[in-house]
This record gives sequence, C-alpha cells and structure tokens, in this order.
Amino acid sequence: MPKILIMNRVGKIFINQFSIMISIFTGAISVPQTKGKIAVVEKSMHLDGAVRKAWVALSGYRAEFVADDQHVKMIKVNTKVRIEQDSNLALTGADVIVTGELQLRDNGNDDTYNGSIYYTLFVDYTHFNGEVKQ
Amino acid sequence: MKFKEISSAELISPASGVTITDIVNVRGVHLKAFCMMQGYSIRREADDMQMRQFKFFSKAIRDDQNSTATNSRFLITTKIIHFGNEDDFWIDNHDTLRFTYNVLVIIP
Repeated sequence: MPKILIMNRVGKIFINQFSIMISIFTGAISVPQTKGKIAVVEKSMHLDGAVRKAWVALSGYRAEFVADDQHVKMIKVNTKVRIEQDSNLALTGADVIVTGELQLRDNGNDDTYNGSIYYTLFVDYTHFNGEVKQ
Repeated sequence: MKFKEISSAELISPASGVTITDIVNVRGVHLKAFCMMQGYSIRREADDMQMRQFKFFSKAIRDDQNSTATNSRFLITTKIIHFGNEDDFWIDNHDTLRFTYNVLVIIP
C-alpha cells in the first residue's frame, strides 16, 4: 500500500497508509410533485475517508404528469455531484452530495409533475484504514 | 479507471433531432471507452406537441487512426431525438429545438 503524506489544518504532517480505489454506488432520488419550475433535489452520502473526485451518471429516470397526459414542450433531467469535506478530512470523512434536476412541462407550464432519478456514482475514495499517527 | 465529462452548450436544431460528435483524448493506450448519460434537456422553441418519441443515446468509438502509443482518441457520438406525431418526424419537422447534454465517458 502506498505511503501518503497528509498535511492537516495546523500544518502537522501525518504519515498514514491508505488504500486508493474507485467505489461505485447506485441510488435513487425521488422528485416530489412540482409545478411551474424545475425540481432540484439533493441526496447526501457520508464516506469515512477522503474523497478526491466523484462523478455521477444517470442510470435512468421517470418523469410523469400527475393528473393527466399532456403535450410536451420541454423535458430536462440532469445529475451533478459535489464533495464537502474540511481540511481535517482524515478524521471527519466527506459528504458526497448528488443533485438531481427534473423538469417536464407543456406550453402552459401549469401542470404538476413528479418523477425519479436513478444514478450511478463513481467515487475516487481514499479510505482511512487506521489511526492517525503523529 | 479514467473519467471524462462532456458538457454541451445549448444547441439549436431546425429538425427534430441532432447528432453530435465530441472528441476525447486520453493519455496512454486504451482500447475501450463507455458512455453514460449525465443529463439532457430538450425544449421546443415554438410550442408544445403531443409526443411520440424521445431518444437519447451516446456511444464511444476508438479513433485508431488518430491514436498513438501515448494517446488514445475516442469519438463520442451523441444522438438526441424528440418528435411528436408521425407527420412531424425528422426532416419534415422544421420547428426549432434547443438541446443540451452531459455525458460521462468511462475509460476502464
């Protein structure tokens, strides 16, 4: 396993052993009933270690008018991912937040819709395997 | 494993669909790449329409002629179709559409 130097917030150097890997997760975001605007829903996952990078892709989606069938002017589905971790990441871990966006509308943009977004998440994840040694 | 993200600007098409080719260069010799959709949007410029088909797919083909011993090039072809009733298919439909798309290219 590679030796990696990590400098923490106060400048001390720790020497720890990490295993580096791409972890793959799947998940679903439920989009609640929405009308007249784009629906933006976030889903968070906490990882016990350091995340260097993450990528998300669609596995599938469902978009549905709630009341009745309608003509379609626009359909939009999108996924994004961001990482939230502080500089003391070896101790606190990281949050990986997937954002799903969905919009379904006709010309009037006044019909309620809902849906689901199914995603696959790839995380370049450095899992902390042991105690921090000073 | 390597990842490349492709994000388009808003594209305007006079027909009911569009096919776009993006180029992805990857350092090293890689024989395969795979595509997953990250998202897309389709909006009819003029009005709404009773729908018949949505289609979105993206595929990666290795560009052997432009790949070298140190670099691999892939052509990422993305096709998006959005049309209404059968009288409106493809070249018969000159209603403007606006597209965006995001594709994740995975190089194992």
